[in-house]
Amino acid sequence: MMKAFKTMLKIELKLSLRGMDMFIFSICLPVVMIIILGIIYGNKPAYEGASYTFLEQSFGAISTIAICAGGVMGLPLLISDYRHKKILKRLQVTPVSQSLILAVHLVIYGLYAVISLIFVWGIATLFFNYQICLAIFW
Amino acid sequence: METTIEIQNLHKSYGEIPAVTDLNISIRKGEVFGLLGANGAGKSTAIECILGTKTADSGQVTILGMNPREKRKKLFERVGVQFQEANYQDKITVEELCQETQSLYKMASDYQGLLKQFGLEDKLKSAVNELSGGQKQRLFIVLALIPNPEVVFLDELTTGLDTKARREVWKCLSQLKEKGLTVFLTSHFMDEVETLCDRIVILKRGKTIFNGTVQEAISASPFEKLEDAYLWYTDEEVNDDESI
Repeated sequence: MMKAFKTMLKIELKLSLRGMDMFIFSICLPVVMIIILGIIYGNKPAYEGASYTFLEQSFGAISTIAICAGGVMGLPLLISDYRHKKILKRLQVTPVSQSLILAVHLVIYGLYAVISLIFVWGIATLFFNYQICLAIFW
Repeated sequence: METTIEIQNLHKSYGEIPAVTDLNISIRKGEVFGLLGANGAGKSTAIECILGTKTADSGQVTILGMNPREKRKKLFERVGVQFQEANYQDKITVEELCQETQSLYKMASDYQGLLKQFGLEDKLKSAVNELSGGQKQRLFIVLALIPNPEVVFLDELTTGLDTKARREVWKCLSQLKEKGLTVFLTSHFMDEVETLCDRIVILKRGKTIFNGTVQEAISASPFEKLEDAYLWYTDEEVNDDESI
């Protein structure tokens, strides 16, 4: 099972990058957004007299877009496409379950979300002096 | 000789429309069995109900002594399947598809040896959707053989192929037969069935109108070729209806 998971993960990841559309939507899109916002707003405060910048305020929104581009747009589109191509049906006549390929894609889209987050945070911090208040575990 | 595939009283309807009615088939080890019928006769529905990808309304199916829906994980280690429609990812290469298929099985054959046997060894890095029709069909046979199966199900493998490609596929299937594999295929090409099959069932609108060997089908008809006999069988049923 692990062998099947690892092989499938490697191949599906290659296919996803070969397809380029998820790379563009999940990674390039949020990066371009943060660059544009950074250029326009730079260090300006969110509103007159605010203690945080517009960019800091927008970080959550941009991260959400990054995650949703993958999880809410990309992943359902992929599942529906695989269903249409009868790929899921093919798995029904093998010893592995259809949920294996779904698990593989959850990992891939999770990876896209994390990488995208790192890029967005990195660009904001390095180029636009963004100071994140990190409170991951309350 | 042991029974490899046993189908009893299989029924499947789509709403009011009966797709398969009371199908009974018994296939022995090493036989090549053909399920024949025109488009819409119920062949694909039957094969899907047998394999468990569709739920039959009633009936029993046993492959290698196991129920395909209940013992799926165990059974499909020993069974290879190729469905009628292409089902592979966009932009996937031959090598990747073979590797992915191979990883699903515990005791898989080496795909490179199989690709060589079917003349596809120089297509490893090609995208599957760039292969010709005949090459794709040969690849699909390879994929069905990767599990090193005892039984192979092939759904309309030569539909859409040119004459040369069809002969190539027949040659491959004859080689499989010599190795003792049990083959269940569906077809609406009589020349193919005459060349490959030991026993056949002819379906018309879901009902079985003949069950026996190719020779019996020909002998019981006034003809000498299976194609003419087949048309005679299917026409005969039409005549019966008209005489009511």
